[in-house]
Amino acid sequence: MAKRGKSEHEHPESLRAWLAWCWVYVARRSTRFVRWESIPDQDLLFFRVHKSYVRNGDIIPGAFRDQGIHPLVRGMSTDWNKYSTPEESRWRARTPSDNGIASLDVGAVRAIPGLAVDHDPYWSNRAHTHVLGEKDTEARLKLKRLCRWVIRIP
Amino acid sequence: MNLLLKQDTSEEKATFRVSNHTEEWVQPIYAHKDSVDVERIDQESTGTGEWISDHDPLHRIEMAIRGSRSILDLASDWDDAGASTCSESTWKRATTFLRDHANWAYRHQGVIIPPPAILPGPDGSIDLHWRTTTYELLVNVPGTTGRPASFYGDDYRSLSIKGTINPELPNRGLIAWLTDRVSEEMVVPSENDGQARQV
Repeated sequence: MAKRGKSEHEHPESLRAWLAWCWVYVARRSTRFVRWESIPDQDLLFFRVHKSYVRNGDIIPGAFRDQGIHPLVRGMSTDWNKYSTPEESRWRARTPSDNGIASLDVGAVRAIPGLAVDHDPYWSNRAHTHVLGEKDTEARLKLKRLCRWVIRIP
Repeated sequence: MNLLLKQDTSEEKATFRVSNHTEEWVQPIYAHKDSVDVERIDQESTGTGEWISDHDPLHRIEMAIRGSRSILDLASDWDDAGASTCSESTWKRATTFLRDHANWAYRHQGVIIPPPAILPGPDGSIDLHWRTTTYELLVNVPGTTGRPASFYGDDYRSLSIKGTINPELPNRGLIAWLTDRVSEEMVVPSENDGQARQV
């Protein structure tokens, strides 16, 4: 097996793990039970915010970051309001009481240079949506300004 | 860069000295002997164990740096979503960047820039975040050495600045933009006559 070179965006694990992630991605996308949909600009995304990312009631720019270790499934996770309530989004956190929920306007997110909104449903969460694109300083500042608290952290 | 306040009791004045590698600059700051409020910065906070004072024009910057050291206490996965920890070398790069720029702005333009919020950023990086009613600026110092720092700022309208810089060197363009915004903020419209006034 040819040795794979490592680039900045390449997953550092073996080819087998990389292929496994590809399979997970394709399976999530191709399932007939969870259909991919186009999200209209006027809809909302619910973004989970951990208490560590809140200072004086405001979300800090560091909260806006991609998650996931594989490039194909890497993005900023949110929930589409068509299939999720803010409470349901909050309950998906590891410790719900440590998290608040902020809403983002889909059209406004798409208006930020370099960002895209992509429905990414899977079996346990039909609402799951990725905000794709580099979360550089401009994107993070503008995402921060778009956020409106729906459920504040107690 | 080191900040050092010396108290000369014989002449009832304090001397503020900034040492910047090879050059040295001294500016006297006059103060009553009894009113000088000197505060010890512990060895771990600055690595220098030196003294700062409320009369130090960059006192607030130093206090912000001192307070930001708690970023290093964050454990791995501190956001329950796999967040990376920030290394001490990254914190030092970010705080040195801030000190250098604050000193440069004060020395060359006579402007004391306000302290930013020093915050954990993505992937072990550190964010320096200035936010006021008239402008917002975010500088990200990456967690990896050798990579440039990135920044974006705007006045909430049409005026914006964006780019990447070497975090090891003061960037005059960024300082000029920030000092311009700070200077503008000093002039606010009067509620009575609608004319600008100095505050």
